[in-house]
Amino acid sequence: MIQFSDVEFFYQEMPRPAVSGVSFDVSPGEIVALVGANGSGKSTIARLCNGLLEPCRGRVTVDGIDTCESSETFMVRSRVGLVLQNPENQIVGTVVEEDVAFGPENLGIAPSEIRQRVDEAISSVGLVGLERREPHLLSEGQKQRLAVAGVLALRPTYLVFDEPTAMLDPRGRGEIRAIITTLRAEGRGILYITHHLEEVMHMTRVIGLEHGRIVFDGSPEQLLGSPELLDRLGLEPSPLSVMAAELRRLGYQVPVAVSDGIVLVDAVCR
Amino acid sequence: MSLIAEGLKFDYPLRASTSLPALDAVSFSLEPGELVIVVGATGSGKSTLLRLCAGLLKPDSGSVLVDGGPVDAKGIVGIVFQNPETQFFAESVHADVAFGPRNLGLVGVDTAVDDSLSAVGLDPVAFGPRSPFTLSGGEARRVAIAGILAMRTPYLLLDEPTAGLDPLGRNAVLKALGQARQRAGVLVVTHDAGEFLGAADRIIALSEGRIAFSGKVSELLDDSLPWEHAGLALPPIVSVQLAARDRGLSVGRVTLDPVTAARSLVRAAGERT
Repeated sequence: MIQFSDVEFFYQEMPRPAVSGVSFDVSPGEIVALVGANGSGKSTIARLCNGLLEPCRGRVTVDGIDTCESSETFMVRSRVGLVLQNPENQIVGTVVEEDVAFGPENLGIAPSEIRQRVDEAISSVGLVGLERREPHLLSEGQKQRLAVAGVLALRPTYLVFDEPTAMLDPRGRGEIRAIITTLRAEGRGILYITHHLEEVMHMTRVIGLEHGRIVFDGSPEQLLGSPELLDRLGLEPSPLSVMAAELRRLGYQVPVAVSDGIVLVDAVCR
Repeated sequence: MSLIAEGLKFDYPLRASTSLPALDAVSFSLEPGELVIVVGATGSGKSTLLRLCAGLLKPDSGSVLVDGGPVDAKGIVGIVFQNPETQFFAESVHADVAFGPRNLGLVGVDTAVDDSLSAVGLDPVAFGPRSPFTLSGGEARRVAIAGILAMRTPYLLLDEPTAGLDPLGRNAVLKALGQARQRAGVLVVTHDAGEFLGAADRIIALSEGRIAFSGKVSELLDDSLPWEHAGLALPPIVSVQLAARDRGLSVGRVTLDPVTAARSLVRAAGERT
């Protein structure tokens, strides 16, 4: 598992630590949402997971390996894949398959196995047929899927997503969510940063950050029960959820997580 | 006084069989005092349109005129791109926000900077001295928006200004744009129409580089057909009311307020039985 033990990190010139006293873990097969207002330390935690940043105090370990151990950097990076908000910053290859091959090539993996890994990764993100396309000719959603494929080619046990859908339109968002569902079913551990309460509802666990400290670690249902906490964590129910809540208040049987409004019409007409 | 785009046609020179957006036959106007949103799927040409309006791309044919003159005249059009962190260069947030207005020779720049930071919900005392490179994604976006607010240009163009913002930041930006609209024309490109419907006067929908439909917000919420034709989804809070109507429930005028929507739905169901 990825394990944080009493982790503190501060950036130079900053008066306060970006994260402080943070302890939690993510196991394979789990999908954990990391939420919090802008500037609460979410992205810092994402970068601490694979040693991109190293803790100033405390320890981060991946399957028991300390991320500060410089001889283990490759091992840590290949076990923990990181996908960032902006796919443009993560794409290096001149065509799709070269970009996906970049990671495994760097690890010195045999060419025949690279081929296999690249095909596998491209197929898991649904980019089959676009292997020779130049990345800048892809749609935004396809670019983000390419970024995911690049990480998958390293066969990571864990994936950390830092708001991977923030720049995508509804279709692109749907594509990424579908991939994440599959990755989880494959038994990988996922840490997923988001501002969307609707996305949080589909996770096994939620960790809430405020000013760099963990103020909530529990189930999505527990979180939804506390409007005050939602507010502190910078989460806002969608208009559809507010409508659902009003219907519940009026005595109708409406599920907590509503993704399609027709459920509400059905509930009232029953 | 207005920004007028007429018959805009634009194609990227190296576009082969790609998904890069081109534009064709796009005309619209933007007056000071209104907020217009441009919606469309990824690749529909939204960002290209924004770049043409700011004079950063030249149309193959057609024209963009601002108050009767060219778009690149100084201090007329302010633009915020999707990745604001790539626009920073100064050593402090204050200096970065001050750069635009100072460059235009405006007076009272320091006050304007503080006001603009406050308008987007960032405390000028805490954020002013910070290096822009230490900002979180959401903070960076808001600083970039403060930068063009401080320039007090009569037209503001923004590409996805609320992407990646938490509700607090989002509401601050929506409020700041609402204030800016009192003196300026505001054009917002977004993939999330729902977010801006409450604030917007008009919608322009793009599909494959052409205007699929455009009109007043109040008129466009009543019919899902144009949205479907343009490959766009109506915000869920609107489509639930249209779905109720399809079931023969008279829910009345489509509203963006979820509590009102819930109550109308209950009332309509009661009337039917």
